[in-house]
Amino acid sequence: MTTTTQIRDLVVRHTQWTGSPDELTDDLSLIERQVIDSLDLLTLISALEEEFDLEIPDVDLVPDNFSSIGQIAAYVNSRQGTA
Amino acid sequence: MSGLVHQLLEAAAHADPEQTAVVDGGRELRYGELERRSNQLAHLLRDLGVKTGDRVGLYLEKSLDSLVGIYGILKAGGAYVPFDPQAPTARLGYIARNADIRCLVTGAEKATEWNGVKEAGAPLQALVVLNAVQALEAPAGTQVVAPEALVAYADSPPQVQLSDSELAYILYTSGSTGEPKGVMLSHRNALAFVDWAAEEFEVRASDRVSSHAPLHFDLSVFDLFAAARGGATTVLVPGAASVFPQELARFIEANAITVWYSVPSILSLLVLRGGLRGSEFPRLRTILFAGEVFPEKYLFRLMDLLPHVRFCNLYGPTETNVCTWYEVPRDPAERPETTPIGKAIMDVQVFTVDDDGGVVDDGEVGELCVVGPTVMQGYWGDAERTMQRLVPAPPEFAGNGPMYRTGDLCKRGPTGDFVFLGRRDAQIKSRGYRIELGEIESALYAHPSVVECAVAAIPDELVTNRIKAYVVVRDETDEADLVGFCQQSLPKYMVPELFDFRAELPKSSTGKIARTALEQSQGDR
Repeated sequence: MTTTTQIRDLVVRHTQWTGSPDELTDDLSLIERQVIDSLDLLTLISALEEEFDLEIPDVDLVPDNFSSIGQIAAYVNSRQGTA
Repeated sequence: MSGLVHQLLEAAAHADPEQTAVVDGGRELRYGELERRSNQLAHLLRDLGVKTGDRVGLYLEKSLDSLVGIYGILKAGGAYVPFDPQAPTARLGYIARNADIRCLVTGAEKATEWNGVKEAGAPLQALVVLNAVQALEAPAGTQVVAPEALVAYADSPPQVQLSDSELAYILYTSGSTGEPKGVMLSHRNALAFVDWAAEEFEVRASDRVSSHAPLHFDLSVFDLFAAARGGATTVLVPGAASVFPQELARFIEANAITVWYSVPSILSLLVLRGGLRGSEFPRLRTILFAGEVFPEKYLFRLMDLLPHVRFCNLYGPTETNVCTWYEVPRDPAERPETTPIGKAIMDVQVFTVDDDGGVVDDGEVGELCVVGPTVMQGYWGDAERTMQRLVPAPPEFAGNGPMYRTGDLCKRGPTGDFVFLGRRDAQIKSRGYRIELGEIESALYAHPSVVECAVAAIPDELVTNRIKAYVVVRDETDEADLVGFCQQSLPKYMVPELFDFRAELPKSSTGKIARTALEQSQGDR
């Protein structure tokens, strides 16, 4: 399973995404489409930390890292690369 | 002060037409422009047949245009009915049918949903689009009016005779019987709160007031109208700032917000994850919070980080707007362990009664009741429910209209401040939203596979409560099926987060679901 697929699953599970997983494309804006709110973000962060064995510091909780599945994957990959 | 809500705008536009009324990201609208555009919309709505007292829906993402919509509807003599832009169309269709909404002020971003709302039973005839750049297809039997039509109308106020007892807006909240109920608020109801709040919190032209709450949530009444009364600027909080605590911190700083008003949960996140060090927000002078309990450990930490800021807890169900308030002392030694909801606002009376309606003594628990000018006109189209909740006041509080029974259990302490203790019924709060557990149960029971269900609130520090559903199903229906099903009729904040599948639900001797036993028992699958 690719990182992107894992992340898509987590987003579906933790945000009450209403559409089908296929519609949740890598570049769909999770903020503009209001897929996640502030509390979903925290749940999602915990899930990502568990799934990828990461610790995500507060300073990384910015739109550039978490506005789409593609951005989350890039962030997770970059963190894993440096871990 | 003026007697109608939109006269606040007229006065602000007259005093300083160049003053910025509202900021939405990089876009701004000045009071003069807002006044002229909403006048044009009001003329257009009258032309479409909107008459005094008609309900007009407002269905678009919060933006500069939303304010034009609200004031345009009010100036036309209508009552605005704000739709939750994220709500399922089935729910919006119900609301439109219930309030007999023929005319909708809307945005192009909602064009894909119009058919769904219409098909769910909305008696729509006209859709007035405030922001379209291209022609949009009208659902069958309706006409779409493009924004270009506005310029043909006069930009001076229409001549509409209106009394302050006319409805200004109807806000739909969760209803225990399975359908949302429309709380009717008049111009006088709104202004009784707005006049008090603008004075008490000294809202002035130099202020920049945040607008965090959605427009279908009554906190927005302060954000828009108290700001207009003071000639202040309302700054809309963008989506990213609502999601990312550090974005929120940057937003407050960069926009020089002076007065912030929201539910506590977003402020708790700001404390937890906002990266505050204690030297932030020099311009911020007041934080108002309402809608749910602010956990003291986060509230006090935020107060310690922002010692220059005044913190006030505002309380009141939608039916009474804000009816009590409490200013949290800056001195940590003076802060009570449990933050009270405080004392009544100006011209309002609050007291607690026992089951027989007798006023109880200080220090004893009773149901909080409210009398005064902020108390609603009733529930739209529901005389029976109105009569249950709006009842004659006891003799010692007679003469100021009916009394609203809040359903909140409170007691008055030695300082005269009321403290909230809990609910009399199955209504809960989550993320500041008011939720009837019965409405969620009704939604689940509508699923053909659900044999039995009970929905419970699981206390949570950040969001007050999380929603858990205990269900018995007749087949292999799983959580994803039920979540998807609920999403078709319930807004996101009402969809259960946790599901517990059981072979059966425990019963009391009278055959009712034994909730306490249920919550203490273990699941089956």
